[in-house]
Amino acid sequence: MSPDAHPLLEVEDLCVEFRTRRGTIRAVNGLSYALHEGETLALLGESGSGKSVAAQAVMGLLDTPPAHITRGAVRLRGDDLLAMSPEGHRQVRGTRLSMIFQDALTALNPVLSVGDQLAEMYRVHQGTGRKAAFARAVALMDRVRIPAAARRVHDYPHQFSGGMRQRVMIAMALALDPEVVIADEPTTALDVTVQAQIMRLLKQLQGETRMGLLLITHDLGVVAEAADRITVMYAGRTVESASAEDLYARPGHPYTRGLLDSVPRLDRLGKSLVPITGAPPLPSSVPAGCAFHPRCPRAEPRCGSEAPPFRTLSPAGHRSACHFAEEVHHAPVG
Amino acid sequence: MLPSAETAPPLLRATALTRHFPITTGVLRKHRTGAVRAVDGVDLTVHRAETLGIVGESGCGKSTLASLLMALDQPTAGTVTIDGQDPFSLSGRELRTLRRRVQMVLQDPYTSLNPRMTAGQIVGEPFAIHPEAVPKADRGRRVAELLETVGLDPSHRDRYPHQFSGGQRQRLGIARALALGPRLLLCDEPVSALDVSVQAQVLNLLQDLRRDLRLACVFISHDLAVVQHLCDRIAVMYLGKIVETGTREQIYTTPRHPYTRALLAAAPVPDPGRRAPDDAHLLEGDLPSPASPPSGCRFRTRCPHAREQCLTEPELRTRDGADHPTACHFPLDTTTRRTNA
Repeated sequence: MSPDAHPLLEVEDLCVEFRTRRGTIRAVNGLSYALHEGETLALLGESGSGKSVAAQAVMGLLDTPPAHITRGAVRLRGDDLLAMSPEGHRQVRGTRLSMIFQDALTALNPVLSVGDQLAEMYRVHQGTGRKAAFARAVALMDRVRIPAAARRVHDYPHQFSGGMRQRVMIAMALALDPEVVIADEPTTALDVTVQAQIMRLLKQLQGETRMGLLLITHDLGVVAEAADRITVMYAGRTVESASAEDLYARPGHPYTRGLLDSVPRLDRLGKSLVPITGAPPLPSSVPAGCAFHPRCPRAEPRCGSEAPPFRTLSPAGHRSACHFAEEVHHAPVG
Repeated sequence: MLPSAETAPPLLRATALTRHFPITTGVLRKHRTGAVRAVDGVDLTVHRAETLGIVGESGCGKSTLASLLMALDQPTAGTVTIDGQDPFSLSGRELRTLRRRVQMVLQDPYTSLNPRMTAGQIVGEPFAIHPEAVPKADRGRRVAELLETVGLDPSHRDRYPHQFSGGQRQRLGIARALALGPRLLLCDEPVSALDVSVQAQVLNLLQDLRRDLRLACVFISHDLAVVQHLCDRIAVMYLGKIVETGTREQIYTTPRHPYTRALLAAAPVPDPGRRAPDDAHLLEGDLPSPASPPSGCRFRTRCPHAREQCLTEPELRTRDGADHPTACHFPLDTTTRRTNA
């Protein structure tokens, strides 16, 4: 089989439920995507869309109970991660698959120096000696362009600025040269000028390692600048997936179109915004049929009863889950 | 700007406004070892029915500035005047009357509404503090009107905040701010806690209110695109100082301060076709600490054009006759427009 036959990371029909005393909440409902080597795939969604839960399921970080993966497959170069033992999954995590969290201040251990935490990666996973591991930690900090790494390796997380702390997180994620890095809102807590630095760093590192990057975000601007392909999630489901250019130029789902019309943009001074009415549903009360239908300007009665299939719109692989996908796809973008 | 703007006193004026927070050390005998210079000599004016945007990154002092403008905090130096009156020299009833003219919309609609009060009580609460604003008998009707003004169903007045979505909660916060009929609304990051699809609803509401009620607004945000959308005039803040002010077009199409240009270059634009990040203008490094800002021009440590002259502090001043002051020794050439604007 050619290496291309297996995407780097393949998620198929993933369903995640939270079973609580107050009922079952379906947070992710049939998510599928494929991430290839050297590619950046964005999972775009608002709060409650299930994008972070989906990432945690792939990482094997969800606690059961209350979370249950009820259906689907997660394959890393063909290896089924969901079928692995917890110990097997732990081995994969860090070495082949790693994650960058949003808030580095809470994700890093406040009582260990940054060097100790980075060195720990080598000591635990590769059995490297203390001194050698520390030297590699310094090299790693250099690699993510932290100035004066040899001195700062002894500093604690609180002594770093937000941007530098996020670089430490990135260093930790890249320590063992993983094939796939999942970045969950990596720049949301940062200022724009620092955000630009971090996104540029991720791109440079990706160029060096050919890692697949799964970028989880709600920010249409960040996605446009970083992603090769985009999967849009709404209420736990995939509503659209396409190349970045295609998605912004010819959205095939009314939700995506609505998002694009509702963001204020620096390149369109004073242009009026067309908001989406209503608010995203709570995961505990997702509407029947198409989950977006109560907010959709195009909705017809059947949208409230019949869930639209996820259909292919173009040979380039543009897909959308809307009964009127073709019509939306071909309408001019305002 | 209104034609009468030159003659009428501005609605809100800040002159050399400064707020330093002392840094102390010692447990039993505290002594001052320094100061965080959160706001350091800010001048600004807001005229009637005008919208001023204040943009800056976290730590630039924009929220401290907001609490000074609202007279919630005492300045270390400098003055604030609202309709020509100094709120810090007033007390009691006079201060309360003045406060009615300036109201605030807070950032987080989840923590800024009392969870044990109903929507009607929240919107009507200002009348308890300012009973002279609306006679008791009319208050119920006024609350219903306010809810309607911000696009909420008046029949939901008995619901509690948790029964509303984030966007609706922010509408409640806006209705409460409008209750006393202010002339100026100060909004501190009013949409940054909201989902993208809901932000636009609140932005459009603010824009409609501003037009229909002829409200002046001060709009504080870190998000250049949001500020661009609402504001006539924009002030850019860096480390406690305003580095540039101008009209929306001046700031976005012909920025004069290198920091403004860097902010614009760093802001992502939702268009993959424009993906050539303006690397030349991206900033290196982080914001210096406001406790020990660089001498001279505060931006010089990150400025690509910094020269020896920048060791002396630049003043905010206008050149070329345009009303577009900037605090830079080497302002950018305004004859070349930004390419992606």
